[in-house]
Amino acid sequence: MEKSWFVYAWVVFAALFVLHLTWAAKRRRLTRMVSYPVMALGMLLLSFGLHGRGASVQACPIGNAFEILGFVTWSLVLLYLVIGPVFRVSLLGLFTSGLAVLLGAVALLVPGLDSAYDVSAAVRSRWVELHASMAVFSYGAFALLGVLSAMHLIQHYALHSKRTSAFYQLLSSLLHTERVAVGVLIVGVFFLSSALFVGSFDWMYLEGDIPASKWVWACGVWAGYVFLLAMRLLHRIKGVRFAWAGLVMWVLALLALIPVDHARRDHPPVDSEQTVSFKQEGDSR
Amino acid sequence: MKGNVDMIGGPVLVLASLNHRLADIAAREDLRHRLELAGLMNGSALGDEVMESVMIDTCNRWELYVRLKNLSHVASMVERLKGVLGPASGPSSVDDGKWVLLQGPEVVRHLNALCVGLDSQMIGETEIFGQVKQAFADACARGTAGPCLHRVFQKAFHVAKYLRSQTSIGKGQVSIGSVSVDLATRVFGDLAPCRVLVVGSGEVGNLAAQSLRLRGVGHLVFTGRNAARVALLAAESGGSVCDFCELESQLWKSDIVISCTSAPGRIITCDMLRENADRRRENPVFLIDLAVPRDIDPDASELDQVFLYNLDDVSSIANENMSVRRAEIAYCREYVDSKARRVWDDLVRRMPDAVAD
Repeated sequence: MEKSWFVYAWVVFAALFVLHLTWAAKRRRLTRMVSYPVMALGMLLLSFGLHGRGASVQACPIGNAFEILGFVTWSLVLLYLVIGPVFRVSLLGLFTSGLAVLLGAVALLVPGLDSAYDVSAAVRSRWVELHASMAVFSYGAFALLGVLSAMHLIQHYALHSKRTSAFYQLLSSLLHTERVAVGVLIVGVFFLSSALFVGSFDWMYLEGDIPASKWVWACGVWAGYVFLLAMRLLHRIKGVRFAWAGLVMWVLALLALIPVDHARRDHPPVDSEQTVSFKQEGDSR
Repeated sequence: MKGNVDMIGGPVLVLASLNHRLADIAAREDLRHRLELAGLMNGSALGDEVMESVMIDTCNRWELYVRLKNLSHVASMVERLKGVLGPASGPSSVDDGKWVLLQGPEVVRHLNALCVGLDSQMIGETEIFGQVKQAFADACARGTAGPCLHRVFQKAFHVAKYLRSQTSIGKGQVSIGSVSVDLATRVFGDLAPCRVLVVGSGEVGNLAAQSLRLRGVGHLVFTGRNAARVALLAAESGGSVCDFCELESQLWKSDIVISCTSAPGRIITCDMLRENADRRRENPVFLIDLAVPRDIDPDASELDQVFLYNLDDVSSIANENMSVRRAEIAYCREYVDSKARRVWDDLVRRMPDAVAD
């Protein structure tokens, strides 16, 4: 039943995306009076779906790729609804709804993503849950960073190649998108750092039972984003290079989920307590 | 007379319009002087037969919207205006008139078209809308705008707002100055903290600088080989002046550079800009080269964070935007006509006071 909520949410995001595109084709921005409520409705439907899953597993629903994509979409939309009214990035709704549609399409249409997992593994530790949910939330922030980076690159391309179509004129300025992107990067790094900090307690408790490759990938993603933030704050990387880095890092972060998931599968549980630990950690990425 | 219609009831609404279509700038100057002498520029000489009036006075037009007590007063008003402005223009006359008189629904239609920008030299320009609103506000403050003109003007504002927001009639910039501002806004967003360097004393460059100033640019610096002329421009624009030999050192401090000199060769080279990029910590720089021959090395557009537009680029954007606006004219005229008819029918119903003596 809860999967229906995911489908409804996807339909709402798709409708909003089409609405945005239609208005952009008419050389106009869709009013925020429409964009925000519709986006909030999509998020509400997604929340019902995630809540239903959470009630089933008695934990944060991030046990398989389908749920992780759902959670990432949820945090992406939440951040959009928070930063959208504050920073007013033009056409951000178009791109955010577009990414939400893409993530939803992958989650719903790619077979095998919503595979069954050990429900008992998900209920072991509240700390592990906190770690996992913060890590996935940071992925939402990085997704939004990717969206802003894409918008920056499009505007940069349009200005360099002297494109004058109304769509490019509707996009926010280069400096504004970059400024907001830096803010979103700080939020993402904060949540991912906090997630790793909380997760490290669990790691110390289990003493090496968590596969090293998982830690390498997780810390690699974290280090990549921290490095990017440091370079930007030191003015070492800016503009189009910062945007490319934000986009590439997001793709790498998504790809890092694959080895992290494999690391979990390659380390079969020794006893029930460890089964709980491995599954929970693996699912958290 | 143009637009002379048989009014069956309704208020006696008359418009006298002296505008850029009928009179060139010299004629407009002469006629404005005559209007001033006749006491019509400030409306003080309008007679008792005038119930309501609004006067619009801009560089391109002088228009007097009046509601008269009854139809018989129209002829006396026309005679009076002819005495000041000469013969009126019209389809059946010899057409040497410099002004036009419209009546009834034609007045409503003209005002709607005027607010939308259909009657402007530059189709769809927004300035006229503000000027009409200001003229109406002034009339309200003087107490000369009554219920009839109030309704006509408010409805015209609604039509203008609708068409400006729902069509492309006012979209895109159509002058070199405003296109430059638009492009700079796409790079920097808020222009207030930007520093603008104007190189040379060419008129087009100066116009672009003025547009940037109007959009809130806080710091304008002028430089050029003709120090006296540069100083004059800086004084007019409220900017500062720097010596032409300081160009290179000024370049890296500037976010926007407008170059419009008559120099035979390049005065801003790729190397200068490449060196700049390091000193500017990769902050973007927007260059507008309005000179012919060009002042800035065209290869500079290949550099990262450097956005270079020349006169052809800016002009083609302005022309493209204008063609988009032109494509909307037919729809806007149709909409304006239909709304004017409705407003007039409504006025006839509410104010059936047009009575021929």
